[in-house]
Amino acid sequence: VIGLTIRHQVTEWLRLAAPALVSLLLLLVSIAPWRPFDAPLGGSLVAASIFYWTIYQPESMTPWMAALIGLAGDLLGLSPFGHSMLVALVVCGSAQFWRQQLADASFFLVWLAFAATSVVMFFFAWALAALILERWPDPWPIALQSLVNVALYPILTLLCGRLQRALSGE
Amino acid sequence: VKQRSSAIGATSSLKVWFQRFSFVLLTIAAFGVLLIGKADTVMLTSLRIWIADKVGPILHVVSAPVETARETASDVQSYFSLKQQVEVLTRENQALRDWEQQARTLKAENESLRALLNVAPSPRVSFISAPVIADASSGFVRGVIALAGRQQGVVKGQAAMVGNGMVGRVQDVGERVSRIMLLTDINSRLPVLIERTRDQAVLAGNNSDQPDVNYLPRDADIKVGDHVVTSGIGGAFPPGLPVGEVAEIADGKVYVQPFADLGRLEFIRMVDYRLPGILREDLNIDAGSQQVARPAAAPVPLPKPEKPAAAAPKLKPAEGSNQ
Repeated sequence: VIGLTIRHQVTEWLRLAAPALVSLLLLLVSIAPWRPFDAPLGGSLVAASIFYWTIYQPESMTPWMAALIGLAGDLLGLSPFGHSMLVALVVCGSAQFWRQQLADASFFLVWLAFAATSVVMFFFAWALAALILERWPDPWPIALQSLVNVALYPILTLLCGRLQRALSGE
Repeated sequence: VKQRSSAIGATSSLKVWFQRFSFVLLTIAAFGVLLIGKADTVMLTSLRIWIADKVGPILHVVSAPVETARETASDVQSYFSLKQQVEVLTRENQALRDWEQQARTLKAENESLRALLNVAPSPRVSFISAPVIADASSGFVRGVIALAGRQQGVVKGQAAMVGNGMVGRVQDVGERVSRIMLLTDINSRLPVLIERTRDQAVLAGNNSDQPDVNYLPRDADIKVGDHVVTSGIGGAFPPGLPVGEVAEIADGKVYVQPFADLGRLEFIRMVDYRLPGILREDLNIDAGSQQVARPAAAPVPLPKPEKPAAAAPKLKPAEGSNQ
């Protein structure tokens, strides 16, 4: 009985921690020295993860958690301090805004909402970068990161969905 | 009981208030971090390299399967083009033999001329090779993290090279990892020379794959394909290190394609040319402290500098610049 209780507690802890752990793992994977799209991924997979978990497991992916994950990207030197944190908050805020409608919606609708969020995220990230760098940076690398995010969202949904079901015991 | 229930009520209302205003609070906090990042770069840079130091082993583990997959793909690709590769390598080998012969002749001639002129020998270089464990590039920065740090003898400001050219310079050094600022980073500035015309200029990164050449003379006759090498001005790097070739001239701007494939760096060499450059000067490093810092990495004896570092001109480099 004690063993089962401990196992249950560990699974529950893993279920609650999964969104943060998956997002941080994706952050590290996206900065591995490879370039599948001939451009740096630079933490771009994290936004998709934050969006997914905010919709399907909001109790774990709170704005605080999203901000901390964004800050982790800043600390790894991917963007000026505070930049990824703000972008993560925009993604989390957007997902929270649509959550009621998207939680039971079809995958394509969620994907479409994420694509729209990525467009907003691109313009926000670009404008913020211009504010920090005090010049208009080349928009293409940021746009490419948004595109990669949208393109990989279905795979991420598949993997995260399976993980979520496994940890929920379904 | 009444006091306890009122305390619980206050706590829960505070929790609700925090949840409701968390976005506002966090946005304010993020802007605060943004301002701190602009104001105090030294403290945050130290924090960044400390984090990279701690995350380094995890990054190494994460990058290992990626590296294996890339190697496998490369092996498969090269297997199908073996015949072609042998032909290319045979031709290259022949050309290199000719060069070797010329180099031997020039070396002998150089040594005899140096002996005649009584020239002091150039300082010998030492280098540290390290695997790249992270491509810390994004729309804002272009850099990589290498698995070698202070413990291995890496020093801030050293040149980062691969076989066919310069990659960038060591920007920050942790205990076990170091961050390399690539030539393409928006903060990178490298004094260069157009090899054919001998025009001096500054190669400035712009976060794209092709940095552009600034401060060229107005009458410079630059052509696509011209080789760009370091000019040695500033004293941080020696002259003549291969950098890249002119890839495009558009709207009065000259774009350079680096020789090194900066998107696919596997190993890099951090090279110490023992030059009394402005970065070394800025860091207050003398030859003695280097000798202590790099017992494992320096296979060659250090030459004694002719002048103490303090006697060099007091030049202060721009923040984040290459030299």
